[in-house]
Formats: sequence, C-alpha cells, structure tokens
Amino acid sequence: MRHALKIFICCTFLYSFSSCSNFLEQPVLGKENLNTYFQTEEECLKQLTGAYQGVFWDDWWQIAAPSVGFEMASDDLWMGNTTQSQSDWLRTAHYGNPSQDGPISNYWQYRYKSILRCNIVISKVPGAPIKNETLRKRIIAEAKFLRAFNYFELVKNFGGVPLITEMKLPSEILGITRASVQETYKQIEQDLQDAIADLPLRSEYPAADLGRATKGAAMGYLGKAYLYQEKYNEALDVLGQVIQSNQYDLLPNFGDVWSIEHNNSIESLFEVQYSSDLTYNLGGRLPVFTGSRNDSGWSWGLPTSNLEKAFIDAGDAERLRWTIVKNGDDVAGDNTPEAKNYVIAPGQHKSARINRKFYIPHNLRPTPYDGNHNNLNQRLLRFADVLLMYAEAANAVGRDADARQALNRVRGRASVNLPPVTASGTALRNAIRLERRLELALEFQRLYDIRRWTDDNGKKAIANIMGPNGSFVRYNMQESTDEYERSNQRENSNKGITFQENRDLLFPIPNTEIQLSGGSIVQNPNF
Amino acid sequence: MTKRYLVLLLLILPLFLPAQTRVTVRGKVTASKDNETLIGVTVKEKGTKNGTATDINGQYTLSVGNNSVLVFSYAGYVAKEVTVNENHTINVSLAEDQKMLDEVVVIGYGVAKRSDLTSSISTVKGEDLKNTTAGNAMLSLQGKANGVQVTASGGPGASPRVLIRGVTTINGTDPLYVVDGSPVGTNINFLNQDDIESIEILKDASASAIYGTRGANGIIIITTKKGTQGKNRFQLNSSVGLQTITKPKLADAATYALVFKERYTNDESTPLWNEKSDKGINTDWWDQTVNDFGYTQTHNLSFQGGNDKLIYSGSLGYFQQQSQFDVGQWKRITGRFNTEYTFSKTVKAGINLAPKYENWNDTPDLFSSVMRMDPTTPVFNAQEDWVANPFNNYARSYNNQTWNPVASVARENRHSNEYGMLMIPFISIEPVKGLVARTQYSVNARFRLSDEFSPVFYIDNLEKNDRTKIQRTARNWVDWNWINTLNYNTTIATMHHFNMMGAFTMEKEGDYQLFGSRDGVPSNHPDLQYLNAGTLTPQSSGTNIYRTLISYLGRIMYNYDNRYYLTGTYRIDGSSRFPSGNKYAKSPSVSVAWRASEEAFLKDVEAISNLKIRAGWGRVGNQNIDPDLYLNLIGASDYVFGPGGERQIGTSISQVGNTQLGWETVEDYNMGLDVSLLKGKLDITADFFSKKSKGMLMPKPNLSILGYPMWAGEMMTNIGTMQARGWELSFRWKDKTGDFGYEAGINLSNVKNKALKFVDNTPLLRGGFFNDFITRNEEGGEISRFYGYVADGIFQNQTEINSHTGEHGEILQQYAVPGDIRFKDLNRDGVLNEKDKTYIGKAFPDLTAGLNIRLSYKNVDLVSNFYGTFGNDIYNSAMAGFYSGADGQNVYADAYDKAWRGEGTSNFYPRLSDKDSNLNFKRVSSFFVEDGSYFRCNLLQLGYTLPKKITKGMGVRLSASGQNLFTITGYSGMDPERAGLGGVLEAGIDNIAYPNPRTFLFGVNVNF
Repeated sequence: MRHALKIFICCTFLYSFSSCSNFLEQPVLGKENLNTYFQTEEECLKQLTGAYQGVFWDDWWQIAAPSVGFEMASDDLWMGNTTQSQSDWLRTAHYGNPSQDGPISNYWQYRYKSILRCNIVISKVPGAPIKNETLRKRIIAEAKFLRAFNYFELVKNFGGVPLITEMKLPSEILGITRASVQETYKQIEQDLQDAIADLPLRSEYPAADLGRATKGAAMGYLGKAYLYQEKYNEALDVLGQVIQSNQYDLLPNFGDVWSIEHNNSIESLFEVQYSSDLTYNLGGRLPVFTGSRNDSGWSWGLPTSNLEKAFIDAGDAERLRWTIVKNGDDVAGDNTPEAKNYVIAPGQHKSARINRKFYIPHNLRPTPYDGNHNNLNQRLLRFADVLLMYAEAANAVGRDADARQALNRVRGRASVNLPPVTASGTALRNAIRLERRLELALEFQRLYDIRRWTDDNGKKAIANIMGPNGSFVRYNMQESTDEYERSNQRENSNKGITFQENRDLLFPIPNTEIQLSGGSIVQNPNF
Repeated sequence: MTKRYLVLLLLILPLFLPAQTRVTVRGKVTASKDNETLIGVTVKEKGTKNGTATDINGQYTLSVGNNSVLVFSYAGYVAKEVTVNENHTINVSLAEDQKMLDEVVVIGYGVAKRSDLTSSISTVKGEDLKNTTAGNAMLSLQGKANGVQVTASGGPGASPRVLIRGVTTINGTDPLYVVDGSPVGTNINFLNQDDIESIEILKDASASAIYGTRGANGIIIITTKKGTQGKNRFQLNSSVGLQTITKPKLADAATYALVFKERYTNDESTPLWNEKSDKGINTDWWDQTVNDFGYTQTHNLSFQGGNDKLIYSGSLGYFQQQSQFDVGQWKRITGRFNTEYTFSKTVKAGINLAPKYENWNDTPDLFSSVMRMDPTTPVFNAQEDWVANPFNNYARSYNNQTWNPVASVARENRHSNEYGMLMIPFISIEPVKGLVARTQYSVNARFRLSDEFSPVFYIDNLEKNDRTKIQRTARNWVDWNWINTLNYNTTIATMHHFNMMGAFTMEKEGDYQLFGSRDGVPSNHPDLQYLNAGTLTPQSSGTNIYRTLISYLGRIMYNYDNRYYLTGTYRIDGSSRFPSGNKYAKSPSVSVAWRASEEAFLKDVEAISNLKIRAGWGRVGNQNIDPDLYLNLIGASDYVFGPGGERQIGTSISQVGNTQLGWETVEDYNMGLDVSLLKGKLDITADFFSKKSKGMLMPKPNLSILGYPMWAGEMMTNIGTMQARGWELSFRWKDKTGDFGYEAGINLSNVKNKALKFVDNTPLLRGGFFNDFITRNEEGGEISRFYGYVADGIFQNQTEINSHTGEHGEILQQYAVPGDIRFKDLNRDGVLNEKDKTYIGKAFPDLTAGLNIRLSYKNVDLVSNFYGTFGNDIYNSAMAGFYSGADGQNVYADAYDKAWRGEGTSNFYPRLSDKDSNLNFKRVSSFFVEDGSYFRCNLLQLGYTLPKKITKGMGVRLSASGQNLFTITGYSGMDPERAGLGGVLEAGIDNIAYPNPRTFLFGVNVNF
C-alpha cells in the first residue's frame, strides 16, 4: 500500500510539472485580436469599412436622430410629433433646460467612437505588411478624411473639443482639456490636406468603390471648414478647384437630387451609403423617423410654415414641392394612390407638413418599410452646396461677378429655372444666404449657417431670428396665419423665445463628460 | 482423518461457541436532559464490529455476547459504556456533551475540531435550514449566520446576492461555493437544500486563504448528508404554498387624467391628451397583468443507511415556483446518491452523484411597465377591429410609450432546459495511522438549451415586430477539478498536537457555446417555433471558453495542550486568466488562538465551559475576471459600397483591453472571541475585522472622448484600494424547562465599506440619473453614498423665489416658478451648480440584525426568523416618474393630491409640470432619499408533531408557515430589501424590480 501511495504521489507531481505551463495557456477563442490584425490588405480595408460605418452608424438614435434634433434648433423645423413625449428634444428645439441632453450625449459619444475607429486605421496601416503602397496611402487618406469629418461635426455643434488622435488608455489622458476652436479646425484642415494629397478623384475609383471618400469630397469639406472660419480666400481657392475638376455637376431636375433612384448622382460629393438587403440592417433611418405618422412614420422634425413662406416669397414653387409635403397635397414624384391627398393629420403633427427630401415614394419602398432597410442614401455634401459656398466666399472678398455666376448656376438648374440675381455687395450676400436656405433646406445646413453668419447689426443671424424679439418667434406668435401650426399647441409656437445669445450659439457638452473628467473638460459658457 | 476433523471443528467452532452464550439485548436510548428519544444512536458491542443503531422510537435490539460491553455513541453526546449483565433490557440515557467542542468542522481540504479553530468560521446545520422553503439554500441562510448578508432578488430561479462581511471587491461579490470538497462556482441554485448536512462559512482570510485566489469573497462550504450505519431511515418533506405581491396604490383613470393635464396647463401649454382617453375606460393594469397568487411547491424524499462496510444516503427532490405573471416559472428535479465503501482499515472509496434537471420559462420584468401604463387605455382594441393575429388586437397606450404589458406577457416565449450531473468520486488511503492520502476528481457537467421566439405583431409604429424571430442557444459547461491531499495528524509527547495538510489541485472550466437564429418564421404557430422553420437572416455564433487553475497549498495546525493554537497556510495559484508573466499569485495566512478555559485557573469554573480568543491575518486573491479583458478585440461593422448598394464586411474595435490589468488581493485582520456559558446554554461569539483590498478590479466608466466601444466606455480596471471594517456579535440561548423548550439567537453586525485610494485620484461616479450620477465614491469616504442637491421645501410664491438669492442678490433658480423645489446654494457663491452638491444619503446599513427564535411546548413548536437592516438610505428614483407623471406615465394614487397647487398646499411635493424646467424630478437631490431601514419577518412557522401513538412510531410533523410575512419599514417604495440591491458602488437605488413575494406554505415532514 505504501508503495502504491508513493507511485501516486510521484505521478501527481510529474504530471503537474510536465504540463503546467501549457495547461495555464488558454487563448481566447473565436475572437479577432487587434494586436494581430492589420496583416493583409483585406484586414486594413475591413477596418476602414468599419470607420465608414461610423459616419452615421447603424441605428436611428446615435447620429441620425440627433442630426434632426440639432436642425430643430433652427427656424426650419419643429419637433413636430405632438402625440408622444417630446422631452428628448426640448433642449435643442426649444432651447429648454440645458441639463436635458440625452440625444446630445449620444451624438458626442458616437462621434468619438467613430474617431477611435479612424485613429486605429491611421496608426496601424502605416506598419501593416502589405505591398500595395498606393492602397496603403489611400486607406490612410480615407481614414483621415473621416476623422476630419467627425471633428468638423463636433466643432460645429460644440466648439473646440478635446483632440484625440490615437488610441489611449484612460490614465494617458488624465486632466485633458478642450482644444480651442482654432486648434480643432487646425486638426481638421491638416487631416483634409493630407487626405486631398492621396485620395483619388471620383472618376479614378473603380465602380465597386462608389461611396468612398474622394479628393473632391475632401476639398469640398476643406472649403467648408475654411468658410466656417471665414477664411474666404482659402475657401475660394479650394472650392474653385472642385468646380473646375469636372467631376461634378448639378442634376437638371431638382426632384432627382433626393430621389432613391439617383443615389450617388453626378451632384454628389459625399453621401452615406445604404442597402435594402433584408438579410442585414444596413438601411437609413430618416425616412421613417421624419415621416408622417399616418404613413408609418415617427413624425419628428417637421418643416415650419416659416420655411414654406420663404419659398413662396421667393416664387420658388418647384423646390418647395420637393422640400415640403403638406397635409392634403398630392406628393410630388409619387403617383401611387396612397400619395394622393396625402394625410399628415394636423392633430398629430405640429405643422401638418413633412420633409419631402427624406420621403420615399410608395412604389420605391423596400418591404417591409421598417426603418432599417431603406436605401435612400443620406446626402452629406453636394455640388449645389459647393457652388453656394463658393459664391459666399467670392462675395465676401468682393468678387461679386464670380459669386453671381456660381449662385445663378444653382438658380438656373433646368427644373428650377429662377431668374438670375444681379445684385452685388450686401444684397448679393443676402441673396446667397436665402439661396442656401431654399436649396439646402432640411439638409442639416441651416442651423450652422445662421450660427456663423453675422448680420448687419453685428449680431449672429440666429440671434436676430430667435429670442423674445427674434423674427421667427415674432412670426409664429403674431404674424403667422397658418392654421395647422396655430391650432396645434401641443408643441408650443413660442419656440425659440428662451434662446440666449450668450449661450445658444453652441450645444452643451454632455454633463456626464464634465463630471467624469473631474472638471478638466469645461462646459460651454452659461450652461 | 482425525486431523481433518480437527480442522473442521476448528472452523465451525467459532460459529457455535458464541451462540451458546449470546443474548439479545433490547432497550431505548434517550437524552438525559429532556428524556427525548434519540434516533440513530450507534450501539456497538465493544471490541467487535457487531452493532446497530436506534430506530425512530429510540429502540434498539442487538444480539451480543454475555458479559460484553455495549458502547452507545451519538454526535454531540458523551458516549456511554454499559456492561451486559443478567438484565437484557438496557435503557440508556445519554448526557449532552456540554462543551460541544469536538464537533467536526469542514475547513477546506480537510476537517478540524471546532475547538482547534483559530479563524472565523460559521457553521449552520442543515437542520436549521429545513423550515424555510426556498429554491436557493442561501435564502434559508438569511439571518442565520452572522456576517453573511443575503439579499433575495425576486422572481423564480433568481439567485440572491450573498455578501460575506461587506464589500472589498466589486468584481463579482459572490462567494465561492464548495460542495463536498469540489468548487462549483458562484451559484448553488442547482442544490436541493434538503441534501445539506451543514454549511460552513469561511469569513476571514486566515480561513479562506487556503482557497487562494478564489477566496476574496469568502467561501461557503457545503457538506451533503452522508449515510449512517444502521437501519434505513427515510424522511419525506413536502410543502405547498401560495405567494403574493402587495399591490402598489396606483392612480385610476380619472386621477391619471387630472395629473396628465395639469402637467401641461401648469406650463401654459395644451395637453398632449389623446381624445380616445375620454371614453370612460379605467383599466387596472396590475389586476390585468399580475396574478393574485403564484404557486410554489417542494417535495423531497431522502434516506440514509448502511453497515460497517458501506454507508449511503440519497434523495429525490422536486421544487417548483411560479411567477406572478401567466408566464415565468422554475422547476427543478434533483437526485443524489452518496456512497462510501470501506475496503479495509486503510482504504476507503466513494462517489457522490447528483443529477439534476431544471426547466424554466423566463419571467418578464414587467412591474415597471404595469405601473407606468396608461389606465385610460383598454387592454384590447374594439372587438370589431380584431384581426387574425391575436397579438395585434392589444391596444396601444393612448398617452405614453409604455408597451402594453398584457400583450407582452402574451408574447413572452423564452424557455430553457438544463440537465446536469455533479460527480465526485474519491479514494482515500491511510497507510499509517494519522496519515491520509486522498484523491478526488470531480466533474460538474451541465447542458442547457434555451429557446426564444418573438412573434410578428403590429400594435403601433413603435410597438411592433415586423418579422418573427426564432433563436436557440446551446450552452454546455463541463468543469472538472482534481484535488489531491495528504493529511497527517499526530500528537507528540501528549502535549503537541499537529494537523498538517499538503495538496496539489488542478481545475479546468469549459464553456461551450452555440447560438443560432433565423427570422421570417411563416407563422406564430407553436409547431413552427424551431430554427428550421425560419426563412430569413440565418445567423449563428459559437465559441469555447476555457479557464484553468493549478494550485499548490499547505496548512499546519498546531496546538500545545489544547490551550495555545497556531495555524499557518500557504497557497500558490497559477491562473489562465492572467497574461504570461503575471500568472501566479501567493496567498499566505497565519492565525493564533488561546483557549483560556483550559487553563488551570478557569478549568474548574462551572459557568464557563469555553473561552477562546482568536486572532488571524491572511491574504487572498481574486481571479474572478473574464480571461479576455486585457485584449483589444474586434467585431463586425458592415457598411455599403458600390452602385448596387453591396454589403461590405467591415470590422472595428469591439473592446479596448486593459493591458495594465493585475491581480486583486484582499488582506484581512480578524480578532474573535468564543464564549460558552452556563453549561452551554449561552453561546457568544464576537469578531472584529478589517479587510483591505488592493488593486481592486472594477468596470470603470470612462470619458466618451476615448471613443471606447464598450457601453459607457466601461473598462475593467484595477481602480484602487477599499476597506471593510466591522464587527459581528452573536448570542444564542438554548434551554428547556419541563415541556417548554426555547432557543433564541441574535446576530448583529456592522460593516463600514470605505474607499481608500483610487488610481486616478478621481471619485467614481455611478448610478446614472438624467445625465448625472447618483452615487459618488470618493477616497477616504464610505462607498455608495448618494451625492446631490439638498431640497429645501417648495417655493410657495414668487417672492420666495426672488428672495432665494446669493449674497449679491443673484437669483439662484431662474427657471423656477411657485411650486418648484428650492435647492440650497450650499457654498453660497450665488450660483446653483455642481459645487452645491453634497452627500445626501448612504446605501449601506449601520447595523444588520438577524433574530431566530424557536419555541416548543410538548408537540407544538414555533420557528421564526427575522432580518433587518438599520441606518441605510434608499434613493427612490421611481418617485421621479410616479409623482411627476413624466412622459405621460401613470402615477401613484396620491400623486394628484400631494402635488403643490397654490400656497401652503405642500412643502414637499412640487407642482406638476411637463417641462419641469426647475428639474424638480430630474436633479439628483435629497427629495428622493428615504430611510431604507426595515425589519422583516422572514419566517414564522407553527409546527405540530403528531403523537407517536397515532402515527404508529413514525415521526410526523405538520406545519404552516409564512415567509416574508410582514415588514416594518418607513420606506414608501415596494420592497426595501430589493431596493437595496445593485452594484456595490451604486447600491440602494430603487428602480422597481421584481419584489420579494410573500409566501404562505403548508408542510408535512415524515420520518420513518
């Protein structure tokens, strides 16, 4: 028996010593690891694809809904939905209590998540063992374009933000502060300039790559970044190059600009790509999010009669019908019976109007029409915008003839065919501003335009529109005769009355971020 | 020939010779104290293997040699020897072993006499658990073991939270369960509590260090019932019961409408009121969704028996519990067969087999929607609008976004089946007296299949499911561990007692996962609720996860003359969960004790039967983390390119790992005192302890700007050092006067959990509440304290608002109107901001108390258990909605009456407002903080034992009991116990979860 015991003890120890080291190595199975990734072209491209997904993300609440929510802060949109709780949107749409920042937080968070994806590509691809140097450069350039895009979105909404350009551990960014607006733009300009150098022209990409960032897109965004900083000469230069590149043109028919049948048209510089493949959830959310409740929509972000009036006053019936659908209208471009006498029930919709640009005609709707399978690409930058930015910059530096030429090219679009503007100076400036409102209505441009434009009285345009004496507030409270808006006070018509000039040129940084930083990240003034 | 006969004679002689002198002895064994019959007393003929045990009536019959000596022995009693003389009826009365000190305690990889213990170990006998009916034995333990805080968590099959001596780690606070020497993880839902012989709780590190890196949260060792020599004994325990949940007082349709509309009229805007609500419907959603009674039952048959070679015990148990909804139940069938065979003096072997089957339907978490649902909405649409799909016929909430809870119950379809077997075979060899080598290889295998079906339905644009979805998850767990121990027990020179142990163990956990789902099942028909019927979007995933651990450990227990005690343990663990270079951790411990009662000057003091002073130190680790936490992982993120809108497979980072991750260690000091007075009538145990955890691991939320893909940027981090300090005091009084017996135990404990140091020197904010955090955990402060504004009554008029200013006349609350809450500008800087927040409450109690009382008079007995916490607060975040009606949700019945409505109407509840511009209901403030103290009657059971004359010798006890019978508390929410749950850094926040039901049971116990 003792013998047996000895053998047993020996075996035990032998076993333990011989196999210990292997026994304790248990790799994580079935999951890819970043540290061993970026080995092939395919892996580099896949991570870049992930970064593209971060432009608008894959659901309605991260970026899409807050984008509409931000636009609600302008004179173009109501919250609109008057059957459901509006608490998420009161902060942006009605300048309500600053602490209610749910959607703002989502937006902030997901922009930075997207930036991390770009940062990983930018830092890993240079060292990847791949042979195709042209592809390597292009991938980095695309990622830089996307990073610049994300930071540009942040600076527009929040002002200067903390700049993160690498993947960091929390301990590495202790005490981080916000960069100034100038520093943030500097980062954006640098990334876009790097991207321009290495990105192909749109025509140089193979068809299968349609939708990727192009040299033209990067230049267009760089022009916009300059314009937002009032660097007019730089803007003029780079936007002029886009116009002369012959890569882009206006579509003759304005109604086609936002048609599902004209995704990635000649007019498009950059748009979010969607698929209607039922196997995946790769569709766009905004057609449902902004649609009529009487037609499977959620009715958030409805156009104001103030915007409608701007079209009518400008004699612009064509762009009006492709921008706003009003209760009882026959929807432009939709010949199905459902679109005749289209219902947008006034009791459920503040203005009984919806955004035609995000509307998909019934015969072109994927089934089920359920929000995550709609392939109406989200247009983010288009040629008409480039022309109008060019006109604005040219006017600002006194080159009114160039400005008029670009402006009138937009007005002269075949289907729109408005008379050319002949004014100059401030009158021309005002004509360009109005043109931007009409041409780019409901495309997430208006809020940032009226925040940056300075009016003749030295105030920002938005301060003359919003606030107790603002033109928009006065219009809704006193002048408007619009029965739909006046009769449905479930969203109060006094929107904008609580606007404060010293506070509301930016949105607040999410409160949780201030808290978690221990105070090193400082809130925007007066929140 | 003669020789041959001689041999034959020699062979058969022994058979005849004793027969001629054998006598049959009969008798009855009773306890000297109360003359109660003792069942299962071992009766042996001294010096032979001949023996028996007393039966149910305490009777025995044994054939013995004349003039032999009978030995009567019984655990807890002093053994007695009686010589057989002419009197063949020997009735024996056994005296209780007053000291009860030689009770054997399981201490991990071995056993020790209670008197030899130097560390803090609580023992609870299975006997003390049996009066409570519970699916999880820990629930029965509540209030019975000092320093063990058990918090029930509601629905069928839910595991309670078990905290041993407060919180020093936040990374999985569950203790490790060890069943019959085999570590089985952190959940013992699978165990039938009737199988439990005893539970030992290793509370301090000097006790738990022997479990090394698995010991950080304490160890609960469960020993199942072993067989006993003697006649077969059977027990049948059965109980059936009903459980109910107290219905909260919610507003009816009329009150709801008043609140709803006033929220808007107070803001001077038009109510977003749905006209359909004016049709006079008044739905009581609670009655429609929650059943008055849920059914629970348990039945268990067990037996023990054996002879001098083989002892065995077994059981068959059934437990079933329903939820308060039409769906949601848990069934469990358990079996057990424990055997031990003695081959020879030196070799023993045995196997414990415990198969089980569990079946459950998931209980939906619907109390919140039931309570929020709009009472003006009918359950169903008008019958004329009904369509073929019954799920479409439910009404959509008219005035808020809550999903119809009756419809949710109807659609609920998640169910699981789990089969498992725990097998623990062992062999032990004792080649030399005192030296025992034992090897045990246990396998714990479980196979679970979970199915879920989501039917297609359309109630509203926002309450629908466009495509049916079917999914199945198969998870298999196969864990094994191999434990080899060598124990040596010896005494040198009669004074030096040694008990030494060395061991080598290996453990491996395997988790095998497979998941599949498809959409587009052609219909909602039950026969089609299988993956094969799905037509769209086939998806699958699966992986294996392995975790391994190798350990070397040893222990020396030494005592000098049963007066001075010393124990030292040491363990080295190697774990696969940590990266190379950081795989090994060491866990040492030392403890000492002095038994003063054995000293000459106390030995003869009658009143003091035991007095022991203990002190110990130990360090344990925590390897309780996912193995992939230090890795940067990649997941799918698809996008679209190309003219046809083609899907492109994309990837992106799905987890940023913490490359700086290290072991978490817990170090603790313990001092204790065990006293036994008045011949064991009064036992007192007192302990003081201080636990400190270093490199504490926790998922820490990080700044969004890092861009981490994890939710809230949470990353597992060694965040710092935390301390739990406290004391435990328990008294037990046991006595009997005539027919009246009584026993009372009181357990009191106090733990202060403090954060000592955080790595980033920044406070940890947890418990999200409207873009802010409720709890703030700060260096040097107690953890889980609520941090917010101080509400200071209600502004009764504009003058009060205007006069609520800073020193220079700054209006502090510019958005306020009369009826809003006044918040204090604590730092008097003229602005109401973050700097005015302060600590407004704390989640952990000052005192936890358990009270056990057991009374008996003749055949009637009463068992009761009370449990309570004192001095803790609850952040009643449910009030935010149930008094404000935010987003159109339903409110408490008194919400309208209590709300401020003009000067003097209320100085606590603010006005109703939709916009709530003053953030009355959205700011973290003392408005929400309530005293969370409570004292709960966990168990009250009245039992009646039928006279043996009627039962023909069988022991039959009938009982009626109430569990969670009543609660004394000032807390206004549903359940103060349930509200106290939550992560330890964000405890005490009431978000309305499944409350603990009140249960009424009727039970029968039969012994024969």
